[in-house]
Amino acid sequence: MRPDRRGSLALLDALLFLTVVSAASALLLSDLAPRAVDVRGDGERYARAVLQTSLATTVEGALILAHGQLILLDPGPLAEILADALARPGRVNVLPLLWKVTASLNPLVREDWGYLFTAAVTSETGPRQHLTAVGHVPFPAGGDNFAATARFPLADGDSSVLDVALRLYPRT
Amino acid sequence: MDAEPHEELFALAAVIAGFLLLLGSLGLAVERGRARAESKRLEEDLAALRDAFLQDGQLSEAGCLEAEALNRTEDLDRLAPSRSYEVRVTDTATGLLWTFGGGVHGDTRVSLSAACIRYGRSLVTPGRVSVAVGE
Repeated sequence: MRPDRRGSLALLDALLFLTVVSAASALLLSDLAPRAVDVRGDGERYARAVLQTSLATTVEGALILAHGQLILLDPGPLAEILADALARPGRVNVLPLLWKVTASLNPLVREDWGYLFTAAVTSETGPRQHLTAVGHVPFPAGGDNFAATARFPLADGDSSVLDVALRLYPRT
Repeated sequence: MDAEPHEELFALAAVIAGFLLLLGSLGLAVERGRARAESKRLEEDLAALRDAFLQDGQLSEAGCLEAEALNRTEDLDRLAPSRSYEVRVTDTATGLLWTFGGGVHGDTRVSLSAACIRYGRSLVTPGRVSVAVGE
C-alpha cells in the first residue's frame, strides 16, 4: 500500500493484490487435475497376453465336422489346431471346436470383461473357414475396447494365412 | 484524503486473506504433487515387477512359465526390492495355484495378465497372473 495515497486507493491496492494472489492460486490448483492413467496401453497389453496365452495352450480332443464326418484333430497348440481346421477346403463345420476356444478364454479373461475372438484362414483363392467366439457378455455397440491380433503364415504352398483377433471390453 | 478506519481494516483483511489463500494453495499443490509422484512410482514398480516376472529367464522358456521352475521358487524378492508384493499364478485348466510374496499393505496397485504354463515337453496350459505391489 502506498503511504502517501490512502483511503479508497489503499482498499483498491489490497483488492488488486487479492486478485493477483487468487489468479496465482488458481494456476497452482489447475495443475493438480488427476493424472490420466494409461488405460489403453494397459488394456492392449492385457489383450495381447490373453491372446498369446490362449494360442499357445495345448488342445486335445478337438473335433471338426468335415464332409459329414467327425474328424479328431491331433493335439497341439490352439494356433496349430485352428490353422489345421480352418485351412481345410470345402464344407467344414468347426462348431465342435468352438467350446475348446471358449473353455480356454473364459477363465483367462477377467469376469467383469467380455471378449470377442475371431480366427479366419485366407488363401490366394479367397477366404476359407472362420470361427467366432464370444464370452461373458454380448459385444457392445460402443465403449472402450482393447484389441490384439496375430497372423500365422501356413505352409501349404498357397500363401494362406491364419488371422486371429481378440477384442476385450469392460462390461460397464 | 484520509482513509476511513473500516477501509483500512478491509484492506488489511484482504491482504491477509490473499496470503492465506496463497499459502493454502502452495500446501495443497505440494501435497498433491507428492501423492502423485508416489502413485506414479508405485505403478512403475508394479509394471517392472510384472514384466520382470513374466520375462524372467529362470522361470520361463519360449514365452511360457515353467511349472517346474515355479515349484522350485520360494519368493521373488530378487525382482521386487523395497516393496511389499504378491504374485499369484493360477493354472485355469488344473486349478493349481502358485503364490509368491508376503502380501501387500498400504496404498496398493494390482495388474492382471496371462501366461502359458509349460509342464514338461508337450503340455501347455493357460494361466492367470495377478501382480500386486504395496508401499
